[in-house]
Amino acid sequence: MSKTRQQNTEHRTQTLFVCILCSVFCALFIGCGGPAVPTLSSIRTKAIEYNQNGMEAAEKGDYEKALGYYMEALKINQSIEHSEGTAINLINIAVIYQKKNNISKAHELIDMVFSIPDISDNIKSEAAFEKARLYLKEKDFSKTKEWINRSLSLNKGIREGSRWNLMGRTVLMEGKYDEAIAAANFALKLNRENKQRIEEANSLRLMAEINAQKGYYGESREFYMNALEIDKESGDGKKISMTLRGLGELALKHGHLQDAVNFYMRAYNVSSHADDIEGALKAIESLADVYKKSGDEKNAEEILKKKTDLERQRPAEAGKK
Amino acid sequence: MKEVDPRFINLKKKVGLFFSVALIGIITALIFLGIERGTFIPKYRIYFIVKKGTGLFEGMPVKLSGFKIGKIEALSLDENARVKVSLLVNKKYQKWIRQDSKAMLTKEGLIGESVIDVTVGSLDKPVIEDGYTIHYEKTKGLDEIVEDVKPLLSEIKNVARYINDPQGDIKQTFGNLKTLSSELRITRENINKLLKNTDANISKIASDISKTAKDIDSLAGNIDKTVSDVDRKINPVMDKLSKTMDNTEKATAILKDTVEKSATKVPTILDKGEDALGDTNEVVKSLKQVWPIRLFIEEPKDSLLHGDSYE
Repeated sequence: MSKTRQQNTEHRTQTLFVCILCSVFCALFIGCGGPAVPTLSSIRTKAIEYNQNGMEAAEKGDYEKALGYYMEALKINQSIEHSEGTAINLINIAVIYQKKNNISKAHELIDMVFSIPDISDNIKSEAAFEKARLYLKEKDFSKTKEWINRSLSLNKGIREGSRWNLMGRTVLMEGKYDEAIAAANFALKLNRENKQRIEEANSLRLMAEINAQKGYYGESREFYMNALEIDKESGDGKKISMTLRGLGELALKHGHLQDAVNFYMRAYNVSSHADDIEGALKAIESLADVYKKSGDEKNAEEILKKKTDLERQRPAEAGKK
Repeated sequence: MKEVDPRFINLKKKVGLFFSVALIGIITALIFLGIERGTFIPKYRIYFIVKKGTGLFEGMPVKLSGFKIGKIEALSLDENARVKVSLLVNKKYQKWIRQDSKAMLTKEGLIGESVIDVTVGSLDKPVIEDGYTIHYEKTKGLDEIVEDVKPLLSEIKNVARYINDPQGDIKQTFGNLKTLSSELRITRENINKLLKNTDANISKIASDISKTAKDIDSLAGNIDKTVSDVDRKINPVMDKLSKTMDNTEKATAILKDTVEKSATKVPTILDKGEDALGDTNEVVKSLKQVWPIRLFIEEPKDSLLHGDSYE
């Protein structure tokens, strides 16, 4: 009796084992037989490859190379009427042209984005933001605000903080401190929530700038220091130099001449090692001013000689305003 | 009563099911592999004829505007002992191959893989149908380029030899200049003698002549120095130039020899390498399609270069 029970138990165990094996096999079979993942065509893959290469070149600051890659990507996307790829690469080229100070060309490219049908609101929002940045460069504040609002109405998303940062900068340039503080605070909150570290540093820099203009030395310095920490964390030499120059300006404004010299010198060192000629030139000009104010004509003259050397290295487009 | 082991109940059905599932699995895998390798893609044949089949081999890629569109299917000799090359081309590219399309044997890069490059035909010409023949255009190989350069190198060598020849015009000119300078020195000595015998009344004129003589003296000295300097400097340069030419000629010969030796091996190696890469690519591509791996692979997409709010 007990033997039969044992046999039955063994039989059940084996049946269960076969059932589990069959289930696993069926599950795998069903999974494998599912719809195939749509693969990109070789031409789209090539376009994406060019786009990624452009991104890498832009991150390294090689704008000519980046422009070449983005142009190729754009050409391919246009040849297959891929609207999204075309729009993205047009925006990327506009960003590069803006970095090269070719504002009119950048405007032209962004206008082309808005003429493309069937592109997502997210891309349109980025294009509108780019348009706003261009108008700010031209100091057309009303148009800047108009395009920021348009960008916000199209899509908010995780980049909303950057729009408010730009709004803050615009109203600060108009001298509206309260509005600027409100925008900067809101941008800081959004950027922290969305973990946008670079834009968070921008919010902090904006807060520092507003406080500096209002004469709050301690608060401004603290905001700058916090921004500097994030700049260093993200490894952006241009931003580090920009923050150091801000600190230098703050120190100069409050009569701390030696501190100002130190900050400007640090900014110059960072810019010259990061191949940021514009940043290095600004640091040198400020440094020469500080030397002149402290009556050190000799050092002022020496530093201005470096300026002449740097101006020769400056690319042709960079000098244009 | 017949005692049956409960494990063998429905054994035939179980074995049957097992084999059926395995068979379905194998057939599905074969179909997928066939799709992946393009077995089911419709193809058509076109031909071209060449005098020599050197450098051509079965399986050689056929490209159009840099894209692989097919391969060489077969090589055979026709009635006139010319090589008839059969190309197996994907049907979807047929619209680009027209009556004026040409096939060329080219290399991708200096020592890159040999491919058959088919040119895109004019839109106003009719499309080439299955079994038709297109024209073949011969392209210059590395050997022919080396052969073209050879006369130029020997020409440069001849020029160097001509400049360096002691009996040549240039060396003779330098010699003449040397003679002229020594003759000028003699003239100067004669003028000195003449001046010594001249009357004191014409001392003013004599002093002028003396000054002129000094100038001539200095000029003669300078010419002499210059000629000897040029002569001294040009000889080693000529020697070096001649040696360089010899070396260049030797290097060209070695290069040609090396290219000739390695040229036959390179396409095979590249072909094998490409096959291996192609197979790996296929395996990776197939793996990417397999569940559940495909769930973890993100499709590449265009990246947006975000503008900075503080630039």
